[in-house]
Amino acid sequence: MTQTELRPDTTTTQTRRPRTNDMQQQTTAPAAVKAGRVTVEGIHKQFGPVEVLKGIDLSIEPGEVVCIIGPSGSGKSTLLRLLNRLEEPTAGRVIVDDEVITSPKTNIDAVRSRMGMVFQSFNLFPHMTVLENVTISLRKVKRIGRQEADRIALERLADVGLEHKAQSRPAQLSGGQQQRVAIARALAMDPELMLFDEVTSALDPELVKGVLDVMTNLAKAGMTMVVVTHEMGFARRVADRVVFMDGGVIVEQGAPADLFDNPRSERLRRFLSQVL
Amino acid sequence: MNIIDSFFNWDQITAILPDLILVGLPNTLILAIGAMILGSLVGILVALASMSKRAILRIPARVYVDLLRGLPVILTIFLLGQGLPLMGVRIFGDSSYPYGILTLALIAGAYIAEIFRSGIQALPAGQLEAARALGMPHGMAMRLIVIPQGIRNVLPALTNQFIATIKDSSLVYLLGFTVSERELYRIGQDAAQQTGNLSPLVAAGIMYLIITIPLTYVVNYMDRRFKTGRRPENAMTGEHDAANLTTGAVAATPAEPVQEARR
Repeated sequence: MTQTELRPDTTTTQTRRPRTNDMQQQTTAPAAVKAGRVTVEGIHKQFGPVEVLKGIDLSIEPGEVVCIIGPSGSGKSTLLRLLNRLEEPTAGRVIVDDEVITSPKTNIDAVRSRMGMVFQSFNLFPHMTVLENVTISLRKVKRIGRQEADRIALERLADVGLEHKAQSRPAQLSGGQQQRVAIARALAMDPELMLFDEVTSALDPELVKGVLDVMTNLAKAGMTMVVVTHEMGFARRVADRVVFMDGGVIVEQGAPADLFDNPRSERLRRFLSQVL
Repeated sequence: MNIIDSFFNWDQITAILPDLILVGLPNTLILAIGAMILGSLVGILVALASMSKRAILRIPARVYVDLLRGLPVILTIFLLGQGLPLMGVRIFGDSSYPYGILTLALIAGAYIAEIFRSGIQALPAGQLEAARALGMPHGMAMRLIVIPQGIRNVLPALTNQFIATIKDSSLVYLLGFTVSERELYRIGQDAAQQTGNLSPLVAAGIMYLIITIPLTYVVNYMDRRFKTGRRPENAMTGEHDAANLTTGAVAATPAEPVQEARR
């Protein structure tokens, strides 16, 4: 139960407790996460005539939790999807741990297997059981044997409190449970970076907390996380840094307390007045 | 001769039944099942080719589908079934039976390619993205995630195609079969011509229905089971409306690709 505290603990109002103090013992994050670093340089992204990202520079430190907020259409999801090249940038570079992953020479599959991604629409594989959803990439990408893969998968499912659902089909789970399985599936690959794309936006309100609790524990365990979210409460409590995007640029960024309590730009003030 | 006697002459029907059951039925099933197996292999390859980014794969696949779907089955059977051996493609020797299977397979393959293509394209893009995000190369993601779901989605449409192929198999006798190679229709027709009575054809028709009607219901049942147990109901819509994705409620039937009218 070692806890890596690689994160520069400069910003938040939150105190970092050891994981054993967590309110739910079952939903603890995996111990000893590896934390990766991501740098984004001069990213532009154009969809046909529309320029969605107009020059983004962003650096995410190992163990840092960065929440990206902003109105819809601001380019925040596109930025997230560029980080594992589900979208290709029109210009600019993405660097993960000193490797320029936007280079054509990059083996993107190898890079992606070190990054976890969780989607708004869960995207569990409906033709597989929950356990198979979590083991498939362990077995086929990492080529781990069935027994060992099952063991890892059950541990990660236990982390999200769903070990008992291992033999269920995704369709038999609630949205919140499906999303927690999706998180376990990503964590099973032992990633050094987790990307979350509006992961609670499709959930019924009463299911949101369970998912956010899992993410909070993961943050406490020292995982590097980039979280596109509309959950301002989560961003305020858990983020080390909040990035506000609008119109394809980063308008403002800083510690959650600064950003939420003393917004400097008119655009952020207007956005906060609408969502809070 | 009254109508009942023309169509339902009991003596005629019982006289032809042994031939229908022992010769015609196995041959019809061999032709149709062989054509479906081969046609499914052709179909999945052509479907993948027709979705390829590379024009060198995509264009031949489109041409193949357009030609074989656009021609009457009887014409294709003559052109391919007789043409291939004439062209020197005599891989099966002189027997016309395997060419019958091959021709039926190539016709079915064109339809099956479109069935698979629609089934795969109906999957939400998120399925492929999630697989790729886990580090799977494109081919692995297609093989493990996309294609298995695509096949499940198109099970009803594939059954329609199987039924169509069973019926199309009644035309391959035109290639000239030996007595023991005759399928249901040919046996019924031979007997009808000898006796001047239509009852043998009615008997053959009943044999077709005995295969095709239960098939429809078996596959409908399998399809329902797949959907209730194994698939979230909005998997087909591709929308991010996941809020109603909660329990395993029965899905609305996915849009079945429309089978074009044949002949």
